[in-house]
Amino acid sequence: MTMKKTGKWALALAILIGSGIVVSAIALCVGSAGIHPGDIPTIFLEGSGSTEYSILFNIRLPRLILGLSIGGALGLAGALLQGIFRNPLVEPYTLGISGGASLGVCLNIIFNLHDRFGVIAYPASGFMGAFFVIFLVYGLNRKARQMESNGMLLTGVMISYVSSSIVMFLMAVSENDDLHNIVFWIMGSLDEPNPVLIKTAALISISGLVISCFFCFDLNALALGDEEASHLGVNAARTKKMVFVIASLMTGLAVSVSGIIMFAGLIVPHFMRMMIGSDHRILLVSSFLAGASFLTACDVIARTVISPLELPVGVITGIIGGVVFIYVLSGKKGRI
Amino acid sequence: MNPILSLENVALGYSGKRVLSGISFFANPGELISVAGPNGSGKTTLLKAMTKIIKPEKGDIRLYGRNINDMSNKELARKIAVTRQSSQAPAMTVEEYVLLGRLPFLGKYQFFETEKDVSTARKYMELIGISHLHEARVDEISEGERQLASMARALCQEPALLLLDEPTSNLDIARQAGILELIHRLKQTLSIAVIMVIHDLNLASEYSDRMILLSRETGGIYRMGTPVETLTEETVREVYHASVTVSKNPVSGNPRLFINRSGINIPGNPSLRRG
Repeated sequence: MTMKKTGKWALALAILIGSGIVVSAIALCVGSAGIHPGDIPTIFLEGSGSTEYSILFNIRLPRLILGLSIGGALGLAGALLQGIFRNPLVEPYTLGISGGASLGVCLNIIFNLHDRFGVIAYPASGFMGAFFVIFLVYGLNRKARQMESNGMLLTGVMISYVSSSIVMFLMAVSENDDLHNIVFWIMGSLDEPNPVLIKTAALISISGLVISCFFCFDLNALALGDEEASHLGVNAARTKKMVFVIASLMTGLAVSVSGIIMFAGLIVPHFMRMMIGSDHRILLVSSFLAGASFLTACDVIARTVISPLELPVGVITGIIGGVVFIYVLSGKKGRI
Repeated sequence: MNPILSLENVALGYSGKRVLSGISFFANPGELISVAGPNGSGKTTLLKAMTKIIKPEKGDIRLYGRNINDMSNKELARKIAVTRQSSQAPAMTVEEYVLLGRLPFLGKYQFFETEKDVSTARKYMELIGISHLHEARVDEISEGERQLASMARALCQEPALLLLDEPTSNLDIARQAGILELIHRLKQTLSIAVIMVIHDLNLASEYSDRMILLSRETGGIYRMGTPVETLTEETVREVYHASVTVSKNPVSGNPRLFINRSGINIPGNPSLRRG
């Protein structure tokens, strides 16, 4: 590890953590009821009872934690999947996971499962749909030698098409209220009232980051191809399976809690790779941190730009992420 | 002398289709063995078997007397390094790429390479002559430079056995000789064994201690021995279906092959074959 590289990585982490703090402060303070950052300690010390306390700690803080967790999970999942598939176009939703989750939620809405099981039925059905697809993609490619990347990608894309078609069919035959619910869920939102779910999301996404750090070197070696990675002592097939499961878990979590938030998992790892290189020791952590800040910032814009109405956060991630990415990419002469 | 690698009656193939059979040979410390033969004769398959990429259908491959199938990938990578014919071009710097050669030596919970790892990588980059490229990206350098970087990475593993798949295929004549001269010296000073798949029979003749000539027809070793024993007009005709004149290199005394144009067939087009 050279001094120059250590310095570069430390600087990158400092910038990312600093931006995370700034974005978090903005997310807490900006909204229909503005709160001055300097007042936060006083509001906290005065305790519950005031309207500001309620807005800050019961509405904005849970939403901030969810934004950081889901953004981090999507950024991490994108970096992991692009690493094992060695394909810059892969993102967490390429493998059909979002399609599976959408189908799960559609079925929940149409069969009124939320009436029987409560609000938890939404994320639960999304999670089950996502995991059904994960096991399907994994199971269909399990026997292929070394988990052939193209086979998995094609299976994922096909499952994605099939589930999208079934979702469209269900939307076509569903009633107006159901249709509205489905569309609203698919567009993605960080408005999740269940505190247990928010804590679970935070715990799973941080655990995902910690566990994936054990695969940093293996992912670096996989950039050379499966055989060459094996020559460096890496069990390529096992690494790909483990990383696939971690990335799928992160994606399944994100989709089931917040709906489909496109682009974050594609753009953030790309952006980080362009800025600080493709060494997974820094790429995974930085993609997590940048994803967390990016989604939180997009959520602030989504809930303030046409206030009091709220835009789906997926709309903002797509527009901002896409434009910034094209701008940076053109500056780098297409180097990714 | 105990051999580093030994193969005993090994048979190899893909999904039931036998490619090679009856392969037996050994590689001693300080020895360079070239594996030659026509396209499709199983040269690369043989290299893949030595690194556990494919398992022998029959026979044993032993490293220091231990069956390689009983060894983990990491254990094997500490003793065997490989350079491939067509390395992928990852988006990383040449130094990062060469440093990957230290991967088998990193601890399970180690997150950073040590100073020794970095100095080892730099030593071999210097030896191979690519120090000036250390900050260049692997996907932006030439094929030849990438081949040199791949060689530096393999040497960085400080292996007991070095397997080279066409190590000179993309290099100019000076670099070809330079790399083989370096390997020749390293194998002696470090007492490592080198097994090299190579198409250029003249280069193989100059630098090999022994040669193995594989035949596609018989699916096995056609001849094995010193370059003088292996490279004859008769063996080249039988194995490659090519007509050559074999003379001696006036300086080294090793066999030197000259193609006889009148005896060459144009592949795949019977109407253009010479009588």
